[in-house]
Amino acid sequence: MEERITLAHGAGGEAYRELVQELFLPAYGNEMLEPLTDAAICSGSSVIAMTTDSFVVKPLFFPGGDLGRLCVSGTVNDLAVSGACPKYISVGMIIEAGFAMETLRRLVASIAATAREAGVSVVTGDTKVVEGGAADGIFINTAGIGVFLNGRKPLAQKIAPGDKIIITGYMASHGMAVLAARENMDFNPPIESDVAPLSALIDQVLQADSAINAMRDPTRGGVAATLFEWVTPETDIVIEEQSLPVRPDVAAACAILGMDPLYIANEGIVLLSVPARDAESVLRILQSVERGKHAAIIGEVREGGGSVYALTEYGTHRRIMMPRGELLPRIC
Amino acid sequence: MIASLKYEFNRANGASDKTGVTEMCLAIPGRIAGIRDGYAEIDYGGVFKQASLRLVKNARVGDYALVHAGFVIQLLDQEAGAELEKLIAETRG
Amino acid sequence: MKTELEAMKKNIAGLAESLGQVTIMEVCGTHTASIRKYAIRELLPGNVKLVSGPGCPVCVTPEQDIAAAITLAEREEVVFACFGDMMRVPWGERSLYSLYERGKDIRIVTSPLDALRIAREHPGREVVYFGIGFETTAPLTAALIEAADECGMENLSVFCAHKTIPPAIMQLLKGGSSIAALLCPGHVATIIGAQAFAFVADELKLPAAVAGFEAYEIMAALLCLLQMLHRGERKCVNMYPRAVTEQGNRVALALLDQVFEPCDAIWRGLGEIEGSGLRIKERYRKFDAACKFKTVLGGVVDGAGEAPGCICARILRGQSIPTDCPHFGGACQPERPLGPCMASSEGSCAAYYRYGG
Repeated sequence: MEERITLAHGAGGEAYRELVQELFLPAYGNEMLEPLTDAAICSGSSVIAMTTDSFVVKPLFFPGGDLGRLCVSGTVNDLAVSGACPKYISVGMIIEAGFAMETLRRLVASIAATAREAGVSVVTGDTKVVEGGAADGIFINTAGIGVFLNGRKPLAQKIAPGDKIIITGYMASHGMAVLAARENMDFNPPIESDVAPLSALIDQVLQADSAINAMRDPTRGGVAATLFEWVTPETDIVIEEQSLPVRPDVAAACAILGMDPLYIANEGIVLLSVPARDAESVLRILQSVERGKHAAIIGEVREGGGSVYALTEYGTHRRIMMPRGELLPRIC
Repeated sequence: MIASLKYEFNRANGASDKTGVTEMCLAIPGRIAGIRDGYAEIDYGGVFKQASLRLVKNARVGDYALVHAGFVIQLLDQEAGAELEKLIAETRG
Repeated sequence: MKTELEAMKKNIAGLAESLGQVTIMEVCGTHTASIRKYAIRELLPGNVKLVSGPGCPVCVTPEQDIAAAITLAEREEVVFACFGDMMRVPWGERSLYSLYERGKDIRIVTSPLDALRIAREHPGREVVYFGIGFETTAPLTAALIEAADECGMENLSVFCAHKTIPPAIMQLLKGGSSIAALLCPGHVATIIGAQAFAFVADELKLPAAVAGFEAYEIMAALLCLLQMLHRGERKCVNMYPRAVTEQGNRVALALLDQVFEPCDAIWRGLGEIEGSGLRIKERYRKFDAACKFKTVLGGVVDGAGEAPGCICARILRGQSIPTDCPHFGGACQPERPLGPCMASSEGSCAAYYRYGG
């Protein structure tokens, strides 16, 4: 194969065929993809969950992950938090002509490995190539389908007063890892992203038949954004600031850059809203799994008026505001 | 009281807090772990980053430093936890 | 620490009982943010009010400096380096952020030394660093200029908008005001020393306390101020002894003096204040972007004007609080600010917005 992506790789001819046969099929290989029909034919349940997400990240490779791992994890996690078992994903790529084939190869290997880890099959895909300058390297869109097994139902995604809010691990690690890598922050050791498919972790909780009122992966806008999606005009959410788990290196980076970890993107954790009586047992299940060992109860839902509060370590209350706009490092 | 202030001071210096570092404005305290060519390697509770020593004299490994935008702007007085406590006591009269 | 804070809270409440309405001003954006972050108002009795003065360097940067920065950043040959804080400050329809979104080469740096690295990496481009901030940050810019001079950089200059705090406090409070006491900025004092605020007690006849940024440090300083008010004392007390000495950081002060000289400067909301700015000395003039791009900047006037109804100027003088503004939270929000106090994450309006009004 050539060393760089050319417009021919997106033109549907010999170069495209070669890309599919020599790169995509060996990496993703499964019986639903291999016929290379216009649509993959898959088995499912009568109710399915479907989602799609586009991924653009700079740099493409960062400590703890890369665009390939990200584009699979993001879609798998969206399915898993809706209570579904992720089964199939599509991978659509828009590539800038001139993109190094070796880089594409690494991304494809990462997609394949992450899909295996998550237990999903890449069943269909698409590749377009645009002229140099029309895109920044590579953009990837993935769509995913999940099924509901063993009589499970989609989660209602409704919190209720009395619920405890549980976080499955350290927050802000992914967002800070990408930022530090992009801005050459030179932390030593580098801050690692925790980007991962969380379907296995979530499955553990669902298997236990615990009552779960809502579950979300707090990606863009961080934990704060999810809390705002959850809070209703009749409830308040109160977070105990001291109980928020943040890895020490991430906390240091946030402090240096003047950023609040509550607003930083995550790709390796989930937030749950669980009735108080089940909260401890859900927490124990999460903590028994490697990816959930830093899980913590971080707050609770109360009757109220639609606000999110942080209870500070000094016993005072601070209103948390809806995240807005891109966060910029500050210094003053 | 002494104990709690000492704890607070250590905590602000990344010594014992579970999150490592407390945000203290954007001048952040850290410990000098190494010095080379006019730069200090600052330890912020397990993560290290360089800071210029151009603005301070006599920095030594082990000192606590206040770092602002890539520069050490002051070496912290490690006995001052007790001093602030004394000041508060005086204030109370 | 919580019990210690409780004790201070009780002391403050006790002292405040005999005092009537007490208004204390802080002149440091980070104090404003810390007070809101820790919700310190909840710990204070109703008659003790905290107001923010001109302590946020982004907020006090006048419109003409923003206009000049945007004009420089728009130039083809320029790589513009600045702190993230300045990015969203509007000049009419434009801001550095809007240029950045349109693909202009604007680098958000976290240290002035990043500008030196960028200049090395791009020998064919003109790197302009936007120097903003008070005495805490100005020595860092001085170090950048010194380093650029030592290694003979030809393609780096500084657009200097640095300011000094004491003249602004003097200007703001000299004619008398409703302010009863002053919480002095801890990190500015780290550089210029606690004694640099002695004039607050000696000349303005107000109690002053240099404060740190933790909740207990701010509470300790407030307690100290109320005690002085109670006793009728007028002193300047250093309540941030772990970082602040009487004389300040002599190395940093010497470097400031080596690179900069005082000049008159315009503050948004306060107007021109004698001797409150820092200008690059003759010896380093070739690193002064205002000189290097003189012809480009000659035509720049602050034509866009401040947004109608924006009360940032009153807020910066401590005469209004953000929630007094009709635009607050509506037409004016952090990601599309009308005025500088919302644009800067340290501005009073942004702090109110972020941590609730």
